[in-house]
Amino acid sequence: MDQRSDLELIQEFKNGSNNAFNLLVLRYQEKIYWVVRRMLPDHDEADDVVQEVFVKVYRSIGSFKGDSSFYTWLYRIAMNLSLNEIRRKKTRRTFSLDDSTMQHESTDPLPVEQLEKEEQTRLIKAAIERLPEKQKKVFILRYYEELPYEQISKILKTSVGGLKANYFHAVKKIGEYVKHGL
Amino acid sequence: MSNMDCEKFRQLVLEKREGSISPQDEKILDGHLATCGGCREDFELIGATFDALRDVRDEEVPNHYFTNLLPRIHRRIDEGSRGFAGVPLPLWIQRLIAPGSAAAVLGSIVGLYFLLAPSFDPSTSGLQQLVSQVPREDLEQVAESVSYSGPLTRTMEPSQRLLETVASPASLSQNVDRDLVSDQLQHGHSFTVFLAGDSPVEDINEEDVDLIIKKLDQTSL
Repeated sequence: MDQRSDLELIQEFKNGSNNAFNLLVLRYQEKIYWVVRRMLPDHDEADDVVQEVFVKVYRSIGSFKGDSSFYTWLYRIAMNLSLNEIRRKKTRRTFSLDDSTMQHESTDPLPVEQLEKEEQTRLIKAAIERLPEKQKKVFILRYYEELPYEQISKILKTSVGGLKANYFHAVKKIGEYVKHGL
Repeated sequence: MSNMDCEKFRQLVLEKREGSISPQDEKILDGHLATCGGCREDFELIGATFDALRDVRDEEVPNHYFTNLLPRIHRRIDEGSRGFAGVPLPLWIQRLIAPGSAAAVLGSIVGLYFLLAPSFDPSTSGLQQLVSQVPREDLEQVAESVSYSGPLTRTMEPSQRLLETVASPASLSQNVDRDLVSDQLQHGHSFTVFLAGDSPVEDINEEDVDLIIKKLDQTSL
């Protein structure tokens, strides 16, 4: 594990070191993948956006002045590119039972409890996907990434009070979707 | 029960669910829940939602995805930066090309605007007509490139708005904020301001245009 800070690596990258860029990718690729994947439930779409995020970092690192932390900057790029992708493709997809992640490899019938759990999982994922953009971003950064509100506030440029309200409404909406069905 | 109590409750219920609520606030919350049926329902719903969320497993990622990602990123970088005879361009040239091409494309758009301006129908916005005459791919190229051209915090949002504009030309912003123009000019972001802002585009005078074009020329390769 490389001990150099993000800022040190960025400086080396700015000085022409591709190895420093590689280390930054390796350091953040999983985090960025999951942020994007939760915005875009399809792996191939998420993969495309993740690559684009790092290509953008590669090409625009010169514009990173260090006013915010590198991962705030990175998250912001990931969120914006994910939203662009959603808007571009107008993906308002719902998870369906034939989704590959829902298919069972075994032909044996599943216990009722497990089927209920899977149905609930399907509903929750569909509910998250249907959240309004702002609430979805806040929910993903807060619930999955467990970022402090102050950090999210820098990424999304929204007040902490506003974020808390968004998070509350997002969780409530997911609960209502699951309770009443979609 | 006052609405203010219910508003405060939202924050407290999240804090309680996340385990960060103070003992005093917890007492306030419990007192409120004892008397407010609506909030009690919300509290139970949110608790049940968090419980359900805990059971959701992550999607699967294909084997070796993360080990193969870096080479694929480099391939994409190389594909976008082939020089003569397929030899990748040096990094510093690649970094210059993106803002340069954005400026060049938008420079062309600006030029086209002023060439065609006299024939525009005055009943609709000049900018709207301009965009309707610029190939969508060119606008998308600008949108893709704008964010390479300066501090990201300043350029991502206009880029975002531009994409929205491209996606829906009818809802195109007809306005440019003059303060933003001069601010952006000072920071080298002239090519983003045509597509975002708050005051009418017609308010831009010749001097502004000269400044913008001059800045675009400086930014172009």
